[in-house]
Amino acid sequence: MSPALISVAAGELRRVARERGLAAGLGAIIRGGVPVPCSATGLTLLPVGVLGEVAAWRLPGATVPADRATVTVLAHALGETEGLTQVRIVARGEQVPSQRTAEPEPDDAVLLLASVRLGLLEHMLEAAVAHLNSRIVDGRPLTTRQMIQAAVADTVTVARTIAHVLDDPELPGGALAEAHERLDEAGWTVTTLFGAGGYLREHPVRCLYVAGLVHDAWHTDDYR
Amino acid sequence: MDPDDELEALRAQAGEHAAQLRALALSVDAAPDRVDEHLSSPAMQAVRGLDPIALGARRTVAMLVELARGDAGMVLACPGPALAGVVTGIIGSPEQQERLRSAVADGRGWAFLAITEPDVGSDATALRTELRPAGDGTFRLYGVKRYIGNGARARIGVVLARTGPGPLALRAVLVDGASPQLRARPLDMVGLRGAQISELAFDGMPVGPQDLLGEHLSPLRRGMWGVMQGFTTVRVQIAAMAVGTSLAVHEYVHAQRRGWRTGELAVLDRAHAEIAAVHRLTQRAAAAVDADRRHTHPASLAKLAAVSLARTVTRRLPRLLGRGALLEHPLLEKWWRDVCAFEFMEGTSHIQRLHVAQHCLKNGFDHDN
Ligand SMILES: Cc1cc2nc3c(=O)[nH]c(=O)nc-3n(C[C@H](O)[C@H](O)[C@H](O)COP(=O)(O)OP(=O)(O)OC[C@H]3O[C@@H](n4cnc5c(N)ncnc54)[C@H](O)[C@@H]3O)c2cc1C
Repeated sequence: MSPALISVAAGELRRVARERGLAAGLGAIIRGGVPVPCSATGLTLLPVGVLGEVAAWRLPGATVPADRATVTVLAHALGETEGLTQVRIVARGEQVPSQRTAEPEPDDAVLLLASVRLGLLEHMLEAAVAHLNSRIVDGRPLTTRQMIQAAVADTVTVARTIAHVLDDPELPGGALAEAHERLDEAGWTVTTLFGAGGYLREHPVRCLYVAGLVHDAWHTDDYR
Repeated sequence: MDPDDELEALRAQAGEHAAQLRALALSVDAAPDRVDEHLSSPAMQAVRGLDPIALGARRTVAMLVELARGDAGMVLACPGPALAGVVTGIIGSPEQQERLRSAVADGRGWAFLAITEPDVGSDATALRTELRPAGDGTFRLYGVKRYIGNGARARIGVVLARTGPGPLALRAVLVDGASPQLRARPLDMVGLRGAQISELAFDGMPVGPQDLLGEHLSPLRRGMWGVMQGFTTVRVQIAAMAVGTSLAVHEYVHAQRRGWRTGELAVLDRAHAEIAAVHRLTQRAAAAVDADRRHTHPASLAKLAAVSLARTVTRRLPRLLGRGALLEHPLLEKWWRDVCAFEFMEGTSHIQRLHVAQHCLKNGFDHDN
């Protein structure tokens, strides 16, 4: 995908994720023809119902066109809560090796995933503030506590910064990995604001847990 | 026996059960309601026998780190007096302690400690569950408790409720898990699923004077005071389980490959050094609890450090195994989910920060301790 296209897609994906959630955001990435990254043995996560629209799979070091892969659908208890399914890809016939570069090329999918995660983070931050506004301790809402305000401010700062990081059409792989790291941490800060309620599988903030899992399944190796 | 040798012996004893706990971990995570199929396992029975009050914090921590190195979710799935035992051990009468003990003595019974409510979590002194006087010296218990470990399958439990306004009106009562005035349902949680976190609704459960914990203590010591002491004890236990889980992840990742590159080994070594440091911090906190349970801040500090460590280790080390490690290795995915629970148990990190800061601001820093 060209840098210009990626930058348009990034803003749109952020909005889709904020308004319609993780599966919608991932679905939009996959429908855009971006190859889906998989683990070395071919495992990955993707939304239910988009299998037919996958253009290709990215195994480490190789790209497998969809019509040359056998796909087995597997259960994934946490992924399913967000409308995702686990699949195992086995390539048939010869594979197209990916280009080897000095620094591993980040997959477009990982770049676009950051925008989806950003949209989810923004949506969940708003939900967390609404929740804490209605949680009264000592006669005042929890949002009046300075530690809570610090967490909100830090999260907004990370979100705004990452939006600009993702604007960069020449973003190096290491910077993208760092952006995901910060999304992970900010996501956890927001998750904790819901208290134990956010640890229920039925709670909407589970999208941040599942998005973390998708990042694990899609991230580019060697960004450590 | 030399105290260090004794701790080493306890560690070795616990370590023997860790492998069995781990072997059961994924099936209990998938179906927490079927844990009773495994109750005859020697490991589960050994955990059941662990009595933190009799053992003291240092010995308990030594054992819990090793057991959690097997699997913390399984440790919390084991039957036994658990948190109810800690509070009853601190403020219960010998008869009440015996009542709790015998309710779970056959090795197939759980107990709960119910404090949190849908609208009240961190600030337990604001809880609303009521002990309404029935006019004959007894009470009726009304209210809803939520996120209660092993609540829906327990035979007995301790509930914190109020007899009137104000913190001194908080009382802990021993209740029967099979009472018709108790409706309990398990909640579907993200992780630590073996602990079967539950919601409990009390609708007029009769409570007699024999059920009130701490009747033999002064009014200042019979309610929240005793529970707070229990919290301190349990906080170091949570820290120990966070350390144990971090060790489990480290060992698991390390064992997956032979030929680690230098840079990767450096990541593993750095993580190991951090785990070892927080482990020592937790042991130190345990020693402080043994010396005086009223000193809450060492336990808070250890929990704060251990929870953050466990989050980092479970997130970052699996990446050394390449893309999709959490899908390829279900145990790593489970531990990644499990450690998030430690954040909420016995006080969130914000609450621990407040404890640590308030202690230091009031008493100074005492840098050598
Ligand atoms: C796995 C698990 C097991 C549990 N087991 C038990 C059990 O056996 N028995 C039991 O009684 N409870 C249990 N709990 C509940 C646990 O004790 C509560 O979740 C905890 O006390 C926090 O309360 P809360 O979830 O209502 O969050 P809240 O108190 O609503 O907190 C929400 C957010 O606000 C922050 N916050 C709250 N107050 C302040 C403040 N004053 N200043 C700054 N920030 C603040 C918190 O840090 C958090 O980020 C369990 C929870 C879990 C997840």
